[in-house]
Amino acid sequence: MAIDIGQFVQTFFDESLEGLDIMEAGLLALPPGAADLEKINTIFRAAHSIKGGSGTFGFSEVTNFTHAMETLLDKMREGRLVVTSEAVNTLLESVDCLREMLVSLREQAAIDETQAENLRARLLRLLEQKETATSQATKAEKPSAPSPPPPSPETTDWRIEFLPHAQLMHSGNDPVRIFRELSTLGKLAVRADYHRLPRLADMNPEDCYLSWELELRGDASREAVAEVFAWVEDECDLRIEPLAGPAAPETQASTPSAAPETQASSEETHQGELVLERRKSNDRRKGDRRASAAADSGSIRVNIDKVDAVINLVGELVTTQSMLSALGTDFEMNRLDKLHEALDQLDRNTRDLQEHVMRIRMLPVSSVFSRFARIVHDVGGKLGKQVELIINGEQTEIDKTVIEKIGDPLVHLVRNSLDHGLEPPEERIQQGKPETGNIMLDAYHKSGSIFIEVGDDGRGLDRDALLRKGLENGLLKPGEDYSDEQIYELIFHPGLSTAKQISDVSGRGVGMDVVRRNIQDVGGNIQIASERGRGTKITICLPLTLAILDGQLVTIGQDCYIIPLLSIIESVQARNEMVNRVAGKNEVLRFRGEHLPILRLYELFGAQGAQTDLEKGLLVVVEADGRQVGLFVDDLLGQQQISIKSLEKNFRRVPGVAGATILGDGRVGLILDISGLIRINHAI
Amino acid sequence: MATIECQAEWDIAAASTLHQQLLSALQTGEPLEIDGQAVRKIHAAVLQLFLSLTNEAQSLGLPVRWRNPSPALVESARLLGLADPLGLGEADSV
Repeated sequence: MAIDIGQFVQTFFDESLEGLDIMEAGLLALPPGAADLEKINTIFRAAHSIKGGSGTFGFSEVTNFTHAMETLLDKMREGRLVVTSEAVNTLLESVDCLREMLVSLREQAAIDETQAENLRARLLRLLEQKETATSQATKAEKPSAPSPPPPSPETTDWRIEFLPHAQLMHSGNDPVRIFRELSTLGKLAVRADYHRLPRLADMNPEDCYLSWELELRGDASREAVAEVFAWVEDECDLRIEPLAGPAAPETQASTPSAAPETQASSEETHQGELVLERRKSNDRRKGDRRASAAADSGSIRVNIDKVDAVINLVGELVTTQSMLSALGTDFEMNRLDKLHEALDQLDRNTRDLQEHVMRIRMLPVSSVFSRFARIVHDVGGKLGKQVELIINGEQTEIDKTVIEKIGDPLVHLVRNSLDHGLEPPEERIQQGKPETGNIMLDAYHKSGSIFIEVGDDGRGLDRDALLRKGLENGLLKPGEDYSDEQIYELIFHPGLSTAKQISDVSGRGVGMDVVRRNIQDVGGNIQIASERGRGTKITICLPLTLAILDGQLVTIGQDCYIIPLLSIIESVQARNEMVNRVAGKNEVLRFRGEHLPILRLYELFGAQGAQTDLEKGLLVVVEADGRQVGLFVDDLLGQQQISIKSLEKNFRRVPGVAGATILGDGRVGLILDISGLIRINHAI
Repeated sequence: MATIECQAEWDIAAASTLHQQLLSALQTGEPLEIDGQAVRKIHAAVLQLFLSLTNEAQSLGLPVRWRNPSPALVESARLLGLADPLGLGEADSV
């Protein structure tokens, strides 16, 4: 059996990135000056796991870097170092740096070592400063003490019995790494017991047959020693006891132990310092890295309850199936009612199952929301604004794919609110508002969709400025009356920013159009409401899932196609006199004072036996990207929920087709890509 | 003489292959030589295999000799308390 380390590496990345989120949340909640032991412990543990994991997989850059963070946190935990805002900020920057390192490693890209080294130096400087401060204070307290210091009641020397289970090394754990880490805590003496080691031929090369007895002399606390083994605590028997007293010697009568004790001092462990290869540091925005950190992992963690629910439903489905089989074996007409009943049950089971399976892909929106605490902290600080972030409904669940797509747009909206929405404190006071501004994030389900709101209680949109800009750019016509909504719409227009100053936070006029496009890409839409002086609220409406859509079935010739219900405006029956030809080729329908391009789908798809007379078929008016087109089809069938299958994966990409589905009668139905069709129509 | 050349980085994934290699080396019945020059990183599982090899070779009366063990190899063996049983004990003076 050969162990594939790769399978654990992905888990390491997933867990480490989660750990970083925990660290970040903990750091943000850590008030300067206060020693909240529990919070510091949580942060420390996360850092420690990352260090342990990175050591196992040989990411020494990460190990070295995390080690510095961990030491700082350890000192904070022990109360030997005061939590200052400088320390918190440096640690927060370190979290970012670590996140970048992990993402780079995962993508097998170059690590920005300059940045890591700078930060590491800053962490060490923080440590040194405080250390000298502490040691000077100690000196002052105890002037010229020639006698050895009295033994501390808590920390002594430790005797550690480490008996790994056979499978300890299967998950990549390496006692070499563990002992190396232990040796950084003091003087380590190791005695290996290898009496269980079998003959070479009888060995499973990945099992662990050795056990150890270690003695650690130094000033390490029991917790510090236990932390070293935290990574393997479930895969070994471990006993840590103080060495000070006469430790009961274990009887090892006939065990061949390594005779002399071998020692490894802490200095030795630093001999493998990295030779840093300076690489050009690439300027990458942290937000991007974070987004990709969250997005690219191809796995999700699913609550066991959700899995159990699916298993239960499958159980019910099996029951229904056996009921139907029993009915089918010797069916008589008088049992028709029973059959109907069973079929109803099957229908119910299937729907429930589908719903629950979909739920597995759903993640709480908190995974996106959680990053905003940091953004508000950083950007608010940078802009000198006092901001409170109010989050509601973070447990609302959304499809994983949707979550991945909305992260960046939401960041943009929050930054906008921070930068342009909220006024500086003095301006707020002038206007009789509380000094601290609010940013509100809310998520909720409503009528089969998810709504996410980003709001602020800032200055609101400047209607007049927008109107002026709109007129200048020719987007609005002078002399016409426009509603607020129409004017606010302008902020989604590319290149239009009313920000007086361009800051590095926002205001370059690229963005809101991209935000809208991203939201539309996942089948959502975005609305804006604003009141001058009171604030702005942006509401994003998203579909529950991307795996199922509500579709309108239409026929073209012998085939059945599906049009996403969301894109359909209406269906009309054309009369020949309403149809004009533009440039002798393209047909348009004069309809409600507009000219609607007609796209004959049977021509596009080469359908046989389709209706070619416009008067005898139907035009389905659809809209995408703000443009409309009339799709000519033979007839409308019913509407139903369609489970989307990838056509690309099973066949190949077809222009104008978004995917496929299996219809009730077993045929394949193609799902039309409305944006694509409109582009095709434009190109003709 | 059968020579086993160490790789620069030997992690647990390599243990299975090395196991087979060591078994065949043992079957030659010739004295064994392990070239440890290249080692930069070595997993406990690999050192454990070498220990089993050493024990067995000794019981068969086959000499096992290390050639140029790298500092990383010696340090790892020492951390595990295996430097002496592996015959790497004196290596630190080299």
